[in-house]
Amino acid sequence: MEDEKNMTSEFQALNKNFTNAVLDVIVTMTGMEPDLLAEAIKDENTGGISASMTLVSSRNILATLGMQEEAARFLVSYMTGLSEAELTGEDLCDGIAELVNMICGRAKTFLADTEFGFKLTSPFVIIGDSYRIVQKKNVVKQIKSFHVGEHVITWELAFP
Amino acid sequence: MIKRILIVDDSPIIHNLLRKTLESNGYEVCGDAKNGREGVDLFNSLAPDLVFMDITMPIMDGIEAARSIKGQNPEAKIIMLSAMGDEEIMSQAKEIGIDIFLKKPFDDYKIVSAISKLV
Repeated sequence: MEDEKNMTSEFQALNKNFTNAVLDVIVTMTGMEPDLLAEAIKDENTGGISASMTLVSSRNILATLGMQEEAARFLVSYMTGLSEAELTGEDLCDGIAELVNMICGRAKTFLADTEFGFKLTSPFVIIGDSYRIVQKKNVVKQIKSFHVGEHVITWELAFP
Repeated sequence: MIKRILIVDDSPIIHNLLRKTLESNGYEVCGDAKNGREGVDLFNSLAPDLVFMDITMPIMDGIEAARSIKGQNPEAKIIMLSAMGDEEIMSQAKEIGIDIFLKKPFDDYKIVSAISKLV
């Protein structure tokens, strides 16, 4: 696994556009401005709820938005205007899947006239208390963490 | 007269979001469909003033549903709503005669502006 200083310029360009897409989508859909943390909180992307999509191009990239259930409840409540207590597990999965779908769609628009065009698969959601997403080998992985309110969300791109 | 709007989307969250925006701006949500087939059926039975249509849905996608609605009702007003900005999809939508194509994410202003252009 490589870190940021070893990233190709291709991955850096993608990473920058996806970070902007995360900021843009969260502020538009919830009215809250996420705060990008200088250091990623890598353990946050385990447990709770993660929604992923594959970006299909010459190299397939896995994009994942991950957070704890409390953060998902907080975000989806702001998105829908429903109280946190009213939201079901299905609402949370659907809401986080919609967010990852919008983030990838937004980044696709940002990158439309560049060499980094891609197609998107449908999002899928992983839920549970003790899972960890592990990439098998030779994967460049970039994780960004954001504070939204009192909560932390993570955005991860895994690039073979 | 209050304008009646049909929402066709497989995501309950999007239904909630749109309903909140539409009702708070004086529109009536007259029906909720979770796939294109239900959307076509509800369009025929409810005759809404306008339809919000997602693209990627099970059973029948939004492009096919919009084609079916516009085929029988060329005056139907349809706003397509999607996160995917594929040129191919947008050109299909244009070909069918989709009135407005909105990309997610959306805010109240974007939704209300689009509606006011059509109804």
